[in-house]
Formats: sequence, structure tokens, C-alpha cells
Amino acid sequence: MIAQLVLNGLVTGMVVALGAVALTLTYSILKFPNFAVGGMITLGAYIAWLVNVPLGLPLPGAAVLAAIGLAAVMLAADRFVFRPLRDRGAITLLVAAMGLSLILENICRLAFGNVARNFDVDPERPWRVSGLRIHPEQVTTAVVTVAAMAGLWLVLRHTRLGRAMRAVADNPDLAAVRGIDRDRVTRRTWVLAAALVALSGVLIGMDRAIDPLMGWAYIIPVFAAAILGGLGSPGGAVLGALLIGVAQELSVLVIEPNYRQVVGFVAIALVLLARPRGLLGVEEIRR
Amino acid sequence: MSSDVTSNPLVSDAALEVRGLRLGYGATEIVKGVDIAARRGAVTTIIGPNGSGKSTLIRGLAGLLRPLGGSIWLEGRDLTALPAVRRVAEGVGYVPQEANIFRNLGVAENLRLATEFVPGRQSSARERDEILALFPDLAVRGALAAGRLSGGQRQMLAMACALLARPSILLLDEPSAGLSPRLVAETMQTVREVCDRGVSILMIEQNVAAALPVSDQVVVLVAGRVRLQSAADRLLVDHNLHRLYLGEAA
Amino acid sequence: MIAFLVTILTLVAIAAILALALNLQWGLCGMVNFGLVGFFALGAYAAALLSLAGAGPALALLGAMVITAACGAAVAALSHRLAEEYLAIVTLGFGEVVRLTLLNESWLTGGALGLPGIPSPTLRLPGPGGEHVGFLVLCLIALALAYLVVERLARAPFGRLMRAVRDDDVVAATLGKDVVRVRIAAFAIGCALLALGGALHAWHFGYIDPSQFTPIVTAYAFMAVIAGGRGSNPGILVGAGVVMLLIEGSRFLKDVVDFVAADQLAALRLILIGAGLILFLIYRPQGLGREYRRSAASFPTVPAPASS
Repeated sequence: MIAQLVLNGLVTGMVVALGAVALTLTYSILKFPNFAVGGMITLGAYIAWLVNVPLGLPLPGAAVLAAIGLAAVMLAADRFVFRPLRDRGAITLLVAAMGLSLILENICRLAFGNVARNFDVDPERPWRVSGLRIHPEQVTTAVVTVAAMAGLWLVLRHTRLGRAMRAVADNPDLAAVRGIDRDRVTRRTWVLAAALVALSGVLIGMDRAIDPLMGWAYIIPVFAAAILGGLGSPGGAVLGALLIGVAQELSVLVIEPNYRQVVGFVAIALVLLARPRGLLGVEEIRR
Repeated sequence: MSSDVTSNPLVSDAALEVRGLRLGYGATEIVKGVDIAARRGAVTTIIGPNGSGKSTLIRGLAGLLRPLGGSIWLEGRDLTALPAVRRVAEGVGYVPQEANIFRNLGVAENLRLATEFVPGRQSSARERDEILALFPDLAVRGALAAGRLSGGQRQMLAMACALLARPSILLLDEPSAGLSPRLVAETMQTVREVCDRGVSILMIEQNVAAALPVSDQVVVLVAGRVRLQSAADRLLVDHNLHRLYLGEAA
Repeated sequence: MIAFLVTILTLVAIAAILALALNLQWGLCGMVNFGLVGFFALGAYAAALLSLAGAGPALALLGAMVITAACGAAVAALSHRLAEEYLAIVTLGFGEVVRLTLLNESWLTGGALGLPGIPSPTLRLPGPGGEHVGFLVLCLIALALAYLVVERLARAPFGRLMRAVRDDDVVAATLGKDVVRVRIAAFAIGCALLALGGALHAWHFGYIDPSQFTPIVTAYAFMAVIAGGRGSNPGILVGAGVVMLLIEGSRFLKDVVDFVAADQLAALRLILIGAGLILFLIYRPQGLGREYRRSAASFPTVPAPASS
């Protein structure tokens, strides 16, 4: 029973991890918490659904197109929302991000209504491995997430873009002095973040249904994971997400399942009280 | 007093020349119209009390602040409108105070980033070896996070990075800050050596006693204005200034 | 028609109280309260439950305000050591906790069915619908009191301190502890005003359920504050009025253009709110009104950006 919960929790955590890593990437480059991540998850899932169901493309292809589509949307958002506000402080930017989230979420509601949608995938029976029930979607989720994280790690560690991103995150002024164009790095960060969030949207859509509120339901766990990991640390965000996922599943042993979402909030509160830099964070988030 | 640094711009021996530069934050003006000429192949040191606008000035020269007025010229090219990200390719090298390296990146990555995004200013392998030879303390594991280096090593790494982009002028913001007296002397010696290899240097320094012996020219900045420009050796024998600036800093 | 007008004005008054509270928190102090609806709901439920339990209006209101202010103080204290961004996420989480509690603790809150038959105070005025007009008068009195409180705080040394802190991190860092205490107090007072709005809401409808307390309320409040102008209390009144009239007015659109379904209209309205927020932030950050400043008018609120 507990092993099953831990397994489910790890899979939930992986989905959360994609969003949390995206959040942490944009935070470290743009220095504000991107509250649009909820709307981004929803829009990503709907783009994939649009390609998958009405247009009939297989889901992997739909996921790729969702990543591209969401990246295009976020590039436009960067150009028309975030860039004009860049020098106005984190508070203004995060309120604008919340406004953007409202827009993205309600464009989905306007276009597709409140009806829950599902991807066109054949439901398969779960496998049984030594007493554990493992759903094929869970395996897909694990494979996709691990592959995405490995890919991101390679980009961050071993490419020109990755070095530029880490340099801007580390010391924006020095990065400028070294000739690193922050606007360009920012745009590429949005593309990476959008791709990760679109993937998480698709995975969430596979797990439950696609509806306009799906992203909203994930915003607290995603933030909790990123804060738990220490905002700005991708590795920490993954660890934080897995912990939140497992804690959410295990929480049903002590509290009513309806309150599972409270776990994320409690985690945030505990981190803020006990270890403000998060688990792997390098910088204090105190001011 | 001295006229040797306020030369005619048309027949200038200045590497970096600043005319009527005004800098500030919002409407608060901190640097209130300064003229400075940093001679080619020389060490020019800007001294002055706290709050005189030294740091603002050097940040403005690096391009991190947009000028409110005046102009900045490097080797006859107008840099005034260029942001920091474009100035490095024009030959401005800048070593900020303390936060002068990427702490979370490895030493090797720091060195790599020194030129990776600077088109056309890569050093040749020989130049690179020569530059690194100036900083023997940097012979550490390349993967070591630069933030774990000692203060002196960080200063050396920062200077090496700036030099790798083959700057026409090297801007140093208080290279002695936070270093032990022995390291201060070493750092100043390195500054001299770098200059003697043909790099013009403009440096800000609080520690006048350490900086003067390696400087060629001195600019005294007070309340955002240039109070005095002089050859360094002349300043050393000027009793008033000696008392004013050397006395309090020593 | 009169009855309709009275209803609209009552709703505008309640919305204006919420906007004033948010203006104190976000506009004046820079504390982003994304969980505004949670505090509003908490106030409404507390007032409703106390009224249902037989407490008089004054006692019910006081109880609601104290409980909500205490929660607000706790939330602000939790994140007080941190950069402001974290308050936003903590309040958002708090709002979710309130929503889940309202839904799941049926023994107390009636769950999804909510609480019916809440007794409400009013002034017995003569004439048809006199009790509705009477309640409107109560709401306007409450609004006036809330306005005076917030305006007084904005003009006091406290308000100037808060503006300085909001606009300048260095000031915030140097002033340290006092600022923390004052900010927690400001946030708690704001939450007490949200509870006041909640209590009036509960009394006005006589029936509350969780569906009345969605994050949309928070979005409307932000829109009212940004449209009215952050920091400007007179502007906020106008902002709240305009937003409320647009929301209520657009309900009629449904009758005119019948090809738009109700939920599509709701979605469209929220898209406009989101776009309006962003456009105001970019093009008119001072809103339609002007911030009250005694002597700081000559200082820029935004330091010149470092070009990079």
C-alpha cells in the first residue's frame, strides 16, 4: 500500500518537476516568480489536444507541436508584456504574469468551454509488478520526464546557451560585461521553459482530464517544489517536486484525500520558516 | 595645475577619453560632468572620498549606466550610446568590485566565458598562455566553482578574464577591496605588469598608498567633479595632497 | 429600477471596500495578496456563522474581522523575512486552503451547499424596499469608515514610510525590524477590511456558498486598484465602481447577443480583466487617478534602468 503510494507520488512529482524546473529557470534569468505557469500548463495541454483529437495527429507529435506553440506564445508574451515591464520590479512583473495566466486560461475556456476533454489514447490495463500496479501512462511520464531533465542538464552544462543562462542567473551585470545579450538569453529561456511546461501539460492531461482549471490546480505544488528546492536551482526543483509528490500521496494516510493540495502549502510554509534557502538553494531568499 | 592629461582630443595620446560625463540614478545626478583622459599605456588611478561618485563613474564607463550627458571615447570611437554588452567588443575590459566572477560556474567556464560572447576579440593560444602566466595562483582544478576561490584568486581570475578579451582599456573597480595587505601589494604589482605589457588601465582605488606607486596619472574626484588631475609622481611630493589623501588612507 | 440601482450600489460599496483593502496592502505597501478571496470568504463565513449562532451584528462583525486579521497577520509574519514575491505565493496557498476547508468541513460550513438564511442587520427606512435602502446606507457607512481608515494610514508617517519601503529596497533594508512590524500590521488591517466586505456580502445575499468565492474576486480587486491608481484612495473608489459596473453591465450583453453562452461571456470578461491589468501596468501604472504624495512628488518612482 505504502509502496504503491510512493510510486504514484514519484510519478506525480515528475509531472510537477517539469513545471517547477521551468519556473526556476525563468526565475533565475528574469528574477520574478512566473505566476503565468498555471495558464501555460492549461494552454499547452489544449494545444496538444487540438492537434491530437480534432486533427488526429498521434500524441507524441502533438506534444512537440504544443511545445512549439506554447514557446511562440511565451515569446510574444515576453515581447509585449514582460519586456516593457522589465525594469519595474518583481512585484509588477508577477502581477502582470497573473494577468497573463488569466488570459491564457480563459482563451482555452472561450475556445473549448468548461467540458473536460481527453487525449485520443487507448486505455491500457495496468501491469502488476510484485504487488504494485503500474499504469503505462506512469511509465510514459517517467521516461518523458527523465529524458527532458537529462536533455535540459546537457543544455545547461555543456552548451553555449547553457553557460550564458547560468552566467546571467549568477551575475547579470558581469554577464553583460562579458558580452552576453540578456534579451536573447531571456527569449531562449522562455522557449525552454515553455517546452517543459507544455510537456507537463500533456502529461497532466493524460493523467486526469483537460479542463480550463487544470493548470490552476498545479500552481501551488509547482511553486512549492521550486521553493523547496531553493528557487533558481533546477536540481533542487526536481528533488522538491518528488518530495511534494510523495508527500501528497502519503498524506492520505493521515488526512482526508480532499486536503491533498494543502500539502504543497504546508511545505512552502515549513521551508519559509525553517530553511529559507530551500534544500539545494545557493542564495538566501531573504532580502 | 597639471595640463598633461587634459590634452587636445584631436592630437590625443589618450586611450579612453571622457568629456562632460554626467551619470546618476533617476533624477539624482552623482557624476556631475567630468573630463578624464586615460593615457595610452599608462595606469590612471581615480581616487576620492567615499560617495564621491567613483563607483558610479566606473559603472558608467563599463556601460552599466546610461549617461545623462557627455560622451565617452575609446581610441577615437564614440561609445556613449553603447550598452555594456556591446562595449566589450569595442575593447572595454571591466573588473567589478568583489562580485567580479561567476561564483557558481567553474574556473574553466569563467575563463571560457571571457571571450565566448565577444566576437572578434579571441586571444590566440600564445596570448592566452602569456596572460595566464601572469596569474600563477589560478593553476587550480578547472571544475572548481569560482565562488570557492580565495579573494585574491578571484581578483586574479577576474583580471585574467577581462584580459583574455584583449581590451584597449582595462577598468578596475577597487582591486584591493577585501584583500590582505600582502595580497594588495601583489595585486598592484600585477596591475603594473599588465600595464607594462601594453594594456591601458583606469582604476578606482580607495587604498591610495598602495595604488600611487604603480600609477602614472591620478585623478581626484570629489562630490562628482574632478578636483585635480596630475601625474602620480607630482602628487607624491605635493604635501597638501599627501596629507589629505595618503594620510587618511594609510 | 430603484431596487436594481440599490442592489448595484450595494455591490459597488462592497467591491470598493475590497479594493481599498487591497490598495492598503498592495498599492501602499507593495504586498501582493493573491489570496484576497480567501480572506474575503473567511470574513463572510465567520460573520455568517456568528450571525446564525445568534450573535448580534456588531459582535459578528467584530469576530469576523478579528479572526481574519489574525490569519492575515500570521500569513504576513510567515513570509516577512523574505522577498515580497513570496508573500504572493503564500497568500495564494492560503486562499486554496480556505476554499478546500469551506468545501470539505460541511459540519461547519455546509460544504458545497453553503449557509442559507443568514440573518442580516438593516435600517428600517420607510417606503417600498426600505430595508434594502437601509442596508445600502449601512454599506455606505462601512465604506466611509474603511475609506477614512485607509486614507488616514496613507497620510500618517506610517503611510510615507510604507511608500518609501515599497519604492526602495535600500530603505527597506536599513529600516529593518520596524518596517516588518508595520507591514504585518498593515496587512492585518487590510484583512480586517476584507472581512468587513465579507460580512456585508454575507448579510446582503443572506446565503453564501463556495461558488461565490472564486479567484475571480481577487482578479476584480486587482483590476479596481490598478485602474483606480495604486496608492490613490479616491481613485480606488472610481476604479471599483467602474469595474463593478462593467461586470454587472456585461450581464445584459447576454440578452443582447444570445449567441454567446454564459460561460463564454465569463471567459471573455476575464480575458479583458487580464489584458486590462497588463495594459494598465505598462501604459498607465498610476491608474486613472493620482497617488497622494505630500513632498515626494519630485522624486521618480522608478530608478533609471541599468542598460544591459
